[in-house]
Parts: sequence; structure tokens; C-alpha cells
Amino acid sequence: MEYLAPAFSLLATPATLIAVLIGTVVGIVVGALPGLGTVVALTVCLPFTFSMGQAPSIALLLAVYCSSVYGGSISAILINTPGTPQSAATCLDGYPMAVRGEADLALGWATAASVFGGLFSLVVLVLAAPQLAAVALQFGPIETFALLVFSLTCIAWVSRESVVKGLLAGTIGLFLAAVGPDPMSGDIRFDFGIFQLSAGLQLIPVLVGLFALAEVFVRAAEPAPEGEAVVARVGFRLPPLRAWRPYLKTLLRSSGIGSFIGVLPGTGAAVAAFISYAEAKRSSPRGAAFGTGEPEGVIASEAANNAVTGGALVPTLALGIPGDAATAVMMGTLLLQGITPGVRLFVDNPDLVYAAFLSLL
Amino acid sequence: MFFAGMIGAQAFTRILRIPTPLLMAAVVVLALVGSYAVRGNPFDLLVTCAAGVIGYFMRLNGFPTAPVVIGMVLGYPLERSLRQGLVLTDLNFFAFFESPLALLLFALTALLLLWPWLSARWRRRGAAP
Repeated sequence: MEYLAPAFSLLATPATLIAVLIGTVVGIVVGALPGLGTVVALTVCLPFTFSMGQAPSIALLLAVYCSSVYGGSISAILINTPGTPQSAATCLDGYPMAVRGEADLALGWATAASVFGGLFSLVVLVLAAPQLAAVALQFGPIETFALLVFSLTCIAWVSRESVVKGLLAGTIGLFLAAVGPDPMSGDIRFDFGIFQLSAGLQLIPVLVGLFALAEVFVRAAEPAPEGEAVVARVGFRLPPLRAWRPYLKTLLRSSGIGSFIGVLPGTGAAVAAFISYAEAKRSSPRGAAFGTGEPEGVIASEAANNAVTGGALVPTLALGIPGDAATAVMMGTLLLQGITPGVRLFVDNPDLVYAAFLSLL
Repeated sequence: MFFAGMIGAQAFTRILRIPTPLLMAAVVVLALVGSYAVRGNPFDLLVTCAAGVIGYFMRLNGFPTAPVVIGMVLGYPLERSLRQGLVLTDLNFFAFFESPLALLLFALTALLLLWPWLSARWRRRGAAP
């Protein structure tokens, strides 16, 4: 905790604060657009970080990461189309609320639950990541290898389609990583006589192509939707403090579920939101009203999908193993900035780590 | 985030009215700028486009793209740790199973891989007692 003060001073510069503000707005906007998810939001922001210092660029990306998850819920509530897959569970109760004319209240609940979930997972991150890093300091190459094999299997396992396809996709990634110089001997592999390949493939171009461009191609191949979505102009209404009491248990439990699922490699916010929604529906006395515009459903999914962000950063920062595609982008940026996530990060740059944590606020 | 949501909710709802073609064009431009700016190498633009086409066909055939990225990120440390480990154990891979922590992780991996098969077996046994 002695690093909190220097971390705070790193953060309190105008550049960093502006970065957080811009990141938040961009994240919400891109997240709210249907089809453009967290990963696209992050890749779009990437070029802007090159000219920034370490602290502002981390702050920018973290802000985008967290707020894009929240942005998805805006379109989920207003037009029944989740802006990001994570917000799919929010549609179930958010849209019925909007139909009833309570869209402003639904947005208020979603915002409040998102902030709560995000803060909760931040506490988990601050407490858990250094512990994990301390354990990982004792890892030799053999343990590291076992851990990496495990994480790779995890990500293939939770991919929505089939496990075999997930494993195959992971293998393609491993092959792409093998292009370039051999890490031990320096021999050039798989360059196919192309000079530019001899240095290896860069992560960012591949990533941007796979996510952002592929998304555009998929959209271009579909016929354009007829007519425009009807979007009502709505305000924003915070629920009165009194109304919070019955939902406190759901808030806490959903944040817990989200943080825990976020820490597991390969799982994502979409899974967390649905598990938390199902759990809240099962245990809540208002469970029967779920799906008809019950605020508790919005709270359950929003608190969980925002709590995932903090959780997913635990293995990324502490072990250098990203839990999902979004944290992989973050890690790519950290590497560009000359920061190597992993065990050493907590030893070498503790103030930077805590600055990153604080900027999540 | 909280304040942005409070003030901006009204403005954000307007963004949903931007026509999709404009939006997609903007994404393409930003994506290409982003991948070029990493190290200012035009070759990276080709890589991006190739990855986009590959990603499109993967999505078309139901392949998830996230494992590719994770595989690529983890590929280098995976190889390095394997090679270093092999040097430590004089090229004896079976010595990897002597570390209790590594053994636990390998066991979890095996469980994960065999899970579909195991759960199907248990279900069959439960159905026909």
C-alpha cells in the first residue's frame, strides 16, 4: 500500500485525466454500437497511445475497456440489441423496462450496478494480484510451461462453438507465434523467403485484422437491415436510495461471480453475466418477475459483466497471461510501451501497477 | 464513468442513429492506421488485411478467433519455458511431471480435455441404472 501515494501522483497529471475522460467516452460510444465490442474499441484507440507516456496510455485503455462493457448495456436497454455480447443478459429485463417507459430508470440502475461491479472487482484486483504475483515468483520454467498449457486449453474449452475448433484456432495462433527467430538459437523459421517475415509477425496487425476487419467483412456480407431502429430520446434517472436495499444482496453476489469468473483464463463477461442472471433469478424472491422488466435482472447482469474487467486483469498483470482477447490487446500495448506484464512487473514498477488500478476508478 | 453515464446518456442514444456503412468505413480506416502506426512498416498493412480475410472465413465456419490471439501471445513464452525446462532436465520431458505444482496443472489440463467424454459417460450411466 506504500505505493499508493506515488501512484496517485502519476495519475493526477492533466494528460492522464484527459486520457481517462476520452477513453471513457470512446468506450461507451463504441460499446453502445451494436456489433462493435470491447476488442474493436481497444484496437481503434491503439494508435493514439503511441505518442503518449506509459501512465496515460494505460489509463486510456483501461478506461476504454471498462466503459465499453457499460456502453453495451445502453443499446441493450434502448433497442433490445446488445452492443457487446456481454450485455446480452441485460436485454432480458432492460428492454421490457424501456417498453414500459422506464428506460431512464433502467439506465440509472445499469449505471449504478456497473459502477458497483467495477469497484468491487477493483478491490479484488488490488488484493489478489500481488498475492498471485508473489506465488508466481517461485515458478521455474517447468511450472510456467504447465501453466501456459493449462491457460491455452482453457481458452479453447470455453469458446462458444466446439472445443475442437477452439483448440485448432489456438494451434493456428501458436504457429503464427513460431514465425521468426527461434528464441534459443536465433535461427529464422517459417519466413518462406520473405524478408519481412524474418523478424516474426507483430501481434497488433494480426489482432486488428482478425477482430476489426473481420467484423466489418461479416457486416458487409450481410444484407443491410431495413429501416432505422427507433430510438427514443430518454433522460437519465437514478433510482432513489431507498430502492437499493432489497437489491444489495444481488449486487454483492453478482459482483463476486463476475470477479471470480473474470480471473479464470478464457472465460468472459458474457458467460459471467448469464450465470449471475440465472443465479439471481433462482435465489431472488422476485425471480418469477425476471424477464418482464424487473430491475434486479438488469442489476445482476450489469454488476457481473463489469466485475469481470477487474478479475480478467489479475492474471494479465500478475502472470502475463491474458484471460481473453480484450486483455490480450491490453498486454500488446503494455509491451509496446516497454512494460512486460508478469511477475516482474510488481517488483520493478509497483507504482505503475497501482496507478493502473486507480485509473479504473 | 459514472459521471459520463449521467451526463451523456442522452447524447449516447443519438449515436445509435449513425448509419452502419459510415461507421464500418470509419472502423476500417482506424484499424489500418492503428496497425501501420505500431512500427511504421507497410508490410504490417498486408498482414492486417490477410488476417482480416482469414478471420472472416474462420467466423463463417464457426471458428472462434480469440484463441488465435491468445495462442500467438502465449506462443513465445510457451516455447521459451519448454526449451529452458528441457535444458534444465537434460532433454528429459518426463522430469516435467516431478514438480508437484506442474503435475497439478497438467492434471487439470487433462481433466479439461477429457471432460466432454467423461460427462457423457456419467450421464449414460445415470440414465441406465
